[in-house]
Amino acid sequence: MRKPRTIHLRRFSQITFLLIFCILFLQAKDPLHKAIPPDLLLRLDPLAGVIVIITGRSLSATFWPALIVLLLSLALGRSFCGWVCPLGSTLDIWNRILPAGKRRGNRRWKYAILLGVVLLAIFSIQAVWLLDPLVIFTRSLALAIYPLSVWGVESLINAFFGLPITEGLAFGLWDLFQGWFIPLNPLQTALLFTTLLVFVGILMLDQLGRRFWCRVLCPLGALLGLIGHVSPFGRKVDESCNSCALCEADCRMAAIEEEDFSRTRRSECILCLECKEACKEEGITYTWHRQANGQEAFNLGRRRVFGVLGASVLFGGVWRTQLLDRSSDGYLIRPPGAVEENRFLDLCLRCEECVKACSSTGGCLQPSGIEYGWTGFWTPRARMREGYCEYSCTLCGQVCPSGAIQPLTEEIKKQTVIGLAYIDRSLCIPWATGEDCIVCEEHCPTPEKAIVFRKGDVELPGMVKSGVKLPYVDRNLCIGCGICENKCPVFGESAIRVTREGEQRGS
Amino acid sequence: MRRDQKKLDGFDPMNRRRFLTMSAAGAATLMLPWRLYAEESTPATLVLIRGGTPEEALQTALNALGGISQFAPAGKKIVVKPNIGWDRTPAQGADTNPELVAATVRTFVKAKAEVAVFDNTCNAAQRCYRRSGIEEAARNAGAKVSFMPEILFQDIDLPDGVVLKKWPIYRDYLKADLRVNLPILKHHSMAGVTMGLKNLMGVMGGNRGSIHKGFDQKLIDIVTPILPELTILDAHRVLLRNGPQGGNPDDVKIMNSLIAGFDPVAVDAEGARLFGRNPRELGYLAEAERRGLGKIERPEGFKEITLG
Repeated sequence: MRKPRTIHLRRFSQITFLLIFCILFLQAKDPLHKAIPPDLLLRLDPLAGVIVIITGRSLSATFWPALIVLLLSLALGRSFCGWVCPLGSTLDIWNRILPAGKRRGNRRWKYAILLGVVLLAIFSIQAVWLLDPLVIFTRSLALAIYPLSVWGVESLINAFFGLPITEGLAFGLWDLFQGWFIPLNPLQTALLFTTLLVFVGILMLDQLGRRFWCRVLCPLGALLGLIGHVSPFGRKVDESCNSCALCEADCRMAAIEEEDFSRTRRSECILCLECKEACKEEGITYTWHRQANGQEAFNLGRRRVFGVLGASVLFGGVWRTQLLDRSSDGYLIRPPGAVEENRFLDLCLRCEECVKACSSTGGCLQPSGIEYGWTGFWTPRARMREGYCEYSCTLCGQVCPSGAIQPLTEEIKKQTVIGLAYIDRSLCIPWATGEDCIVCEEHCPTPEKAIVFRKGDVELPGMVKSGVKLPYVDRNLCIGCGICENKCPVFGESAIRVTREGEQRGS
Repeated sequence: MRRDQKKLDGFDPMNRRRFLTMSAAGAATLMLPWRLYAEESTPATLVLIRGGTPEEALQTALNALGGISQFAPAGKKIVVKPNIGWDRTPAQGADTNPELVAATVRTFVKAKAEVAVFDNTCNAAQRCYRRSGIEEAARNAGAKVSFMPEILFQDIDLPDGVVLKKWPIYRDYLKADLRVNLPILKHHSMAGVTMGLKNLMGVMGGNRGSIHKGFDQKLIDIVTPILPELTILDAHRVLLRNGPQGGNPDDVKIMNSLIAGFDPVAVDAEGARLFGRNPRELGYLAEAERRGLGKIERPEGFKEITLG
């Protein structure tokens, strides 16, 4: 039977958008080409946009592309889920590798989750980072899929470097992948397993039925469904229908009513066109066609709404009760341009775009674990021993979609204090052993150096050494970039460390 | 033969020998200044060029040293090792002048050599290569410009090492047929003045920060087996303070000079003098001489040339 062309178009669209979003992700690096923003995927996200505007209590201009998606959904139903969403596309591809199980799960949950997310936002708790599919996709790329892919390619190249015959090939591959794919710094792998677990978990949920996440859990899908419900475009069944039920059995979204196959739940239908292909009578078309309201799942009912309200309050309450570890809190250094901490936690989507961008240059930003409380989980912080904040770099603010990190000009960024360095004199080589070092002073990037040295005496067991170059931090000049901590040659803990004292946060 | 006939004839057969002798003497006299001139242009071993553009200074220096043909560069793999260590503009005087890098590369490319340019930078490599202007300049001049993948650093033995016995060095530097060191003259907070010997740290891997402790010994330990064949010291813009990375253009003095030579110690010593320091006060230089890597004292073959 001749395959209809439009379904090929849908698959092509899915693959194309998946590739585009992966390429955009890879473009979050130095040098940054501003023509198409690397965080476009997140800017298209109406759920993220709405929630960030509520919790941030300000209109954010970066999310205007999301209006396009809203208009698209109004016109063409929940087609974003079927034609554009990279997580949805991944699930469809995954189905070919590991076929899904029989359809199960209650469609209502996603509306309840959406309601919960909105309620929490009104309580000023942002939960998009946990449940939004585009955020999950970006984060999975940044913390799991990308590092693993790079590790794979690097291992291959290193293997080829091992043998003289394949060396030319190794150089060729290195030249091919270096720059746009392989970062120059060692990859950060913090929270790789956790992130991968969440991602694979979503894939494995399909064992409970095709597109389980989309059908049962996705709050963005719920939002687009609510809008798509009123769309004038959708599935139309003509008189040739012989009620064979093939379309209904096939429908991955359970969008076709079990009692009447001509009626479609427009809030569930993602316009994947599989039913059109399955119909042997060729009786299904997608067109501008009004239909009477189907049996929708978003009528939660009063009891369920109160249930969601209660759960949100509970979640919010538990969320807010955090015993902050004050001793480690001092080392929580946020990226330059980060807004005040509470607001930061409200705005940050934990999408890790900043982490990805930073890995291409200084490489200091890493996702936090729970060391700063659950509220900090997956938020970016600077680990100076692993990387440092490159003096002339402004990437993090430029790729942040929500404004948790404000974009700064190079001029302003070079004067923005993210912390202050202090020297542990019991570890520092000149102070402790009387030998010369001052690697920290050498690397300090401020034009008037924030680390100076003075010649002094050092008392050692049995003798006094004179004329030793001893480093001092000028706390009026230090911007906390951390290159000193990063380059300090002492083994293990650095002898010069940056704490967040004196940090200047954006507004 | 009658005497008066001799005068009338002009050419006296009996005076042929005299004529020939006088011709020979005349020719020898004519040739004499030429040979003296040839004696005068024996190549120098160390040159200081003042004035001129970087290109002019370089060509003058190389000619004075005997030209690059002495290296027979055609078909050879040549490494030109500039200082690309810092994310700074040329005006800030922290990296080698890109015009000089381009001129050096062009010279060897014209002689049909394969030129590679790289440096193990301190700041993020793409930024340093970009902002210094060296990546673009070198590439346009015909060099293969590359970053330095970790895996290509090989441990080499340092048999004459006093403190260090082994250190990772970039393989492409080790395998090159000819190594041309192209440092910039500038202040260095720890070492005093950094020039050619210290610039070799750009081919070293490992924990380079740890070299600072006991620097004089350790640097000489490592550079001893990997000395370059030719050192060209860029003194066009000289960072006088807050080196090695500077940042404030006010710290930079335009000196429009260039030093080149085969003895890396001699080149560094001359650079120190130009900078205004006594070369013997630089610990690593004194150590280098002590261990026989070269001579600090200005050599016989030193030449200073001022360009208009």
